[in-house]
Amino acid sequence: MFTVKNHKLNIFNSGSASLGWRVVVVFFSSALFLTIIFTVINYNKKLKDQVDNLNDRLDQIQSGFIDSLTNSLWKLDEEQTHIILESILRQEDVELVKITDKEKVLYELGSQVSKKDEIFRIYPLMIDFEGEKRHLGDLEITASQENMVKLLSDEIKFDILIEFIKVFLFIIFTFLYTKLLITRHLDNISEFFKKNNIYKSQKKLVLNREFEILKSDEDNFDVLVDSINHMIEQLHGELQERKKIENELTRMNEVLEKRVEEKTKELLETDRIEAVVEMSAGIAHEINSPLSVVYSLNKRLKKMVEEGQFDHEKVIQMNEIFDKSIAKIFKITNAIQMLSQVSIVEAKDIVDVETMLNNTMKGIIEIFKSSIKIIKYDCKFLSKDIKINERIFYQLIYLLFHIRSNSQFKKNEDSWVHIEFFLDNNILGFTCYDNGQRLSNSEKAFLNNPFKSKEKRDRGSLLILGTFSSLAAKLGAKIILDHQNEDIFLQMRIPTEEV
Amino acid sequence: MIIKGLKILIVDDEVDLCQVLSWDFEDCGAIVSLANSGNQAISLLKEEQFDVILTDIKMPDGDGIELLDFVYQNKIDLKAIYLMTGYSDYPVEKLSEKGMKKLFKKPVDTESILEDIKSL
Repeated sequence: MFTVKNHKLNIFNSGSASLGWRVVVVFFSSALFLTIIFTVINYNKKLKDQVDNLNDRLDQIQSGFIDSLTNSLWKLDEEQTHIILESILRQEDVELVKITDKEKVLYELGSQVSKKDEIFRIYPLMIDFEGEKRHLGDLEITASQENMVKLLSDEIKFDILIEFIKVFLFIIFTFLYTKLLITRHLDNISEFFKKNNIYKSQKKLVLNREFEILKSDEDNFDVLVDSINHMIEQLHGELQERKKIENELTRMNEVLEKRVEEKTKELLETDRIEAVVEMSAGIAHEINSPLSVVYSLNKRLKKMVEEGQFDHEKVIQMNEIFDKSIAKIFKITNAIQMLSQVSIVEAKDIVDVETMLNNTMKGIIEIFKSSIKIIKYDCKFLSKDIKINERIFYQLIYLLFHIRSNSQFKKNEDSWVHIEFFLDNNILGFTCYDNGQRLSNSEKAFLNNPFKSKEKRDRGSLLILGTFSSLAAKLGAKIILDHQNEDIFLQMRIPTEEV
Repeated sequence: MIIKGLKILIVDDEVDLCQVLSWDFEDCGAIVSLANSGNQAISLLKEEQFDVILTDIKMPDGDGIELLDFVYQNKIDLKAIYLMTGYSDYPVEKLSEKGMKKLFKKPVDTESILEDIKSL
């Protein structure tokens, strides 16, 4: 004897209702269908047997009553005839007995039977008289199946009812046992997987049995549970292994990252030192040319003073060269100053794009109007605020013009620069069209990656390109240098933040 | 060597430096020609004969070393070729092998150049 623990006996509970109903309906209807089929077959067989019995009984009437009835008719013994006819009528299912002679009814006992239920027999009543057979009349017996059918149908109804109850009870018990032996275990298994994360928990699946069973009595569920537990164990083993590998990989990755970081730092440092050395060389060269001029002019002036010979025209000419050389030195020191400022300024300002571009370009035109003849720009935006480092942006445009002014074929040419600014989904971009000298491939490579280029710095111009590149990197800008249009000097896309 | 009448070619992309140097040499009686790039100087060398060349190294459109190579390879008859540089990161020995007389560092002292020419 066992009891069911923690078990819902409501077989149609929400968890198993659909399956429960389906099983009951399918089992019940199939069983009922089969019961009805077999009962109908049985009924037909019984009906046939009953009819055969009736026919047998009617045949017995012929052998048992015909001779005595013929004698009583021959003797005109009415009383005897009546007694015999009543005896026949008392036979089971016999409803009507008649003696007719050429359609004339001589005797009639019993009541009429509906045509569909009747079994009719006619027996001729013959007697031998002086060697001659004489026909005295016919005995007509009408039996009814009604009673027989009624009995049979009652029996069938009872049989069906019994079968129905049997099927119903069988299904209920089957279902209960299914629930007890199968469904609750399935529920238990599904509940186990629902509640336990098998990747994390090592809890074992245990069948919800109320009693211990012997190993030899274990059923398919025990085998299934063993398999599941084995699978969980294997999974955990694999997970542990994977975790181990993952940890090892993470550790190796960390070591590698550290190594890469150190190596990069080393390389970067080497590159930076190299760049600084080369830049310094460029600066030295660039600044030494105007310094040579100043030095020579100073010496010449000194000589002139010592000799007391002053050529007025020459002094004016010397003065102009002085100014130009000092301006050059000033420009170079300005560029160096700007480079030092780049590393300090990081914050972003909230600016109106159109105002910022107009202010920038007004300043630029003022500075470069002497070296570039025509400077035009388009920045037709709706007033929109963006976040950008305005100072770096200004310096970038300044350097762009500086590079441009140094890339003229001839100093006295009719140089022009046209910049188209655009704002596209928080990308502030511009295209610089001009008629100056194109940047060489090595200069382009240097502009894209100043610290990786092995190109020798020339005339300090790469110092400016390096500064430009550094400013662009600080703005997170992308410099585009591959153009099909030969009028395009440089394009740039600068990501900005919308306010 | 007497400077007077000496044909000197000064090559530097810094026009003002060329100008100032030319004044110094002209004061000593030299005949000075100017070029602003290596290629311009080569063109002049193809047309004229010079005694001394004073050239900057770093220049766009043909630098001083290319000019030295041209002189060396074409065996152009010169008394001396001097190079100028803003910094001294050049293999002087290699340049000397190609015929460079001396490498002057900027800012250049014209007097020391003149002294060297005189000593030729």
